[in-house]
Amino acid sequence: MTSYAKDYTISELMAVALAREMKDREKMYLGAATPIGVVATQLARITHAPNLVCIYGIWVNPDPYTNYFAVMTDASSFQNIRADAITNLSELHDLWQRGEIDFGIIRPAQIDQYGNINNTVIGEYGKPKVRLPGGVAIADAMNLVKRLLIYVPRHEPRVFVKRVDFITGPGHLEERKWRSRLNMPSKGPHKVFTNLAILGFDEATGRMRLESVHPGVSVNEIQENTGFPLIIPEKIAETEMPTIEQIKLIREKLDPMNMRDLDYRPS
Amino acid sequence: MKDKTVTLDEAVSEIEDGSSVGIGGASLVYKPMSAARALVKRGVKNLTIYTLMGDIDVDMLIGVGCTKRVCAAYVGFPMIGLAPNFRRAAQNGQIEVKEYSELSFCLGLRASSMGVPFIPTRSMLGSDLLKINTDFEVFDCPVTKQKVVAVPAIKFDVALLHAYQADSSGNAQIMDKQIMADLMAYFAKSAKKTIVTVEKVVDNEEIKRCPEKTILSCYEVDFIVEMPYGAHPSGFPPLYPPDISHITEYYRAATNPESFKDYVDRYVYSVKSHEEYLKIAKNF
Repeated sequence: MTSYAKDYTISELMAVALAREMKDREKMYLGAATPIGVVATQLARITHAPNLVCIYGIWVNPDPYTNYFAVMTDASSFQNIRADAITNLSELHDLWQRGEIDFGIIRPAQIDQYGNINNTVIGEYGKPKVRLPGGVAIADAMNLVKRLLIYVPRHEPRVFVKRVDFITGPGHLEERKWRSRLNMPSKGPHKVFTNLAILGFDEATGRMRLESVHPGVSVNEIQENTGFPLIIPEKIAETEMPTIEQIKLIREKLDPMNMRDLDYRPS
Repeated sequence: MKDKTVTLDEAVSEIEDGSSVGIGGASLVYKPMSAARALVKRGVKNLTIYTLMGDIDVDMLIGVGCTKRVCAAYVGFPMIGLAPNFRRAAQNGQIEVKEYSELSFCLGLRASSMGVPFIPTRSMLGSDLLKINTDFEVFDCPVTKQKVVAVPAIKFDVALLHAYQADSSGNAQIMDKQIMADLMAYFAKSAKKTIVTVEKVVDNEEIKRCPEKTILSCYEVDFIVEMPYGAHPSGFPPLYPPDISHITEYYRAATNPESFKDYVDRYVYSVKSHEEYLKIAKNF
């Protein structure tokens, strides 16, 4: 019998939920500045997906116990990253172009009901209220990587908007018809993991749908924090909790410096 | 061979009002920051800057009013915050931003390097990047009959790069475990002129001992300037890390135009030499 943990944080629950979406023998890509995504991937690799090929930036299969917290601030640990390979940027980009990556992880500033993502501007493009940094590889991943796992540390209406102010990377346009019409390599946004719930996308319309609610969260609370009506199924599952073993691995082996909570700094 | 070693001021005097400048490195590593500061001091106007992921380089060149256009996939301080001057200037309409994705930016450089007018990709279809950056052209691929985007070759007047070591004739090398070295090569091949600052200038014999580490050959480089810690405050892994405490100092200063002015006065305008800069700025 699985022993579920009673003591876990929301970032740990999100990391575990993300990890459960990763399959053994897949090939995945992870960009920078996604702390919960890193912990989730490393957890999957040391538990159910030992043959997951993990490309972190330009490192192929970095040691799952790499302390990325130190990597960001200390050159000697950067030098000591143990990995199977360091790729050139162009090799990495060719891998995207060939459509060989099974999944990627994205953290959006804004996401709408069709899974369109905006990391470019809040407000009108020509005179934005907030100029965001830009999407880096979001437009690339959403068209070339087979499926996208998206996570949002704070589920709130300013993130979940009816229509994004700018499409940095496209979701399920034309009610999900455009990817098949254009024969796109990517199936687009697969699931969205937040501090309140796990969300998916309706097969027919491409609209966002509630998949499961986290323990102690009400459907009302989720809808109130979402800027558009969610598709809410009649029977709603509760998100599977992390196990005692998973929490122990995260805290003691994978992320003792608590990098995962960097996703919760005030933005 | 011609001696290409010059002073930093001599090198950046190549860059004039209205020039387009490609800045190597990405996201707080391998940025040619000593050259960027020299450019700030020179005070040229209306620059167009091309960089894959901009941070202090772009933000400072915007803050002092040198820049009219930024072409990039990202401008910000990863894990620290939004780029303050970039944000202000973009919100006030003082700069034009030419949006790229990571892949399209690099494909643009590769197209230049290969000597082809464009490279096709299926990235960005459905994205508003195509509406803002009108250099991209959507067309029907004659081979697959599918919709594809043509990413035109990116070209600029001058590339600013920071490498590990070079000889006086311009053969520039990387060090062991240096990453993203190919990006540097593509930048040089996309520029009319290339300025390379290096951690150290070495004898040609030293270059010949390990020719496999030569990333830029002498025929691709116009100027060499010795600038130890020339990437500071960005990092040069594995030689030195990003100076996070200095970068945070910059970030805090730049959030307000007054304190930003104090920052550039202290670390750029009133500094007499690179050695003096390192003495007051470097935290390791």
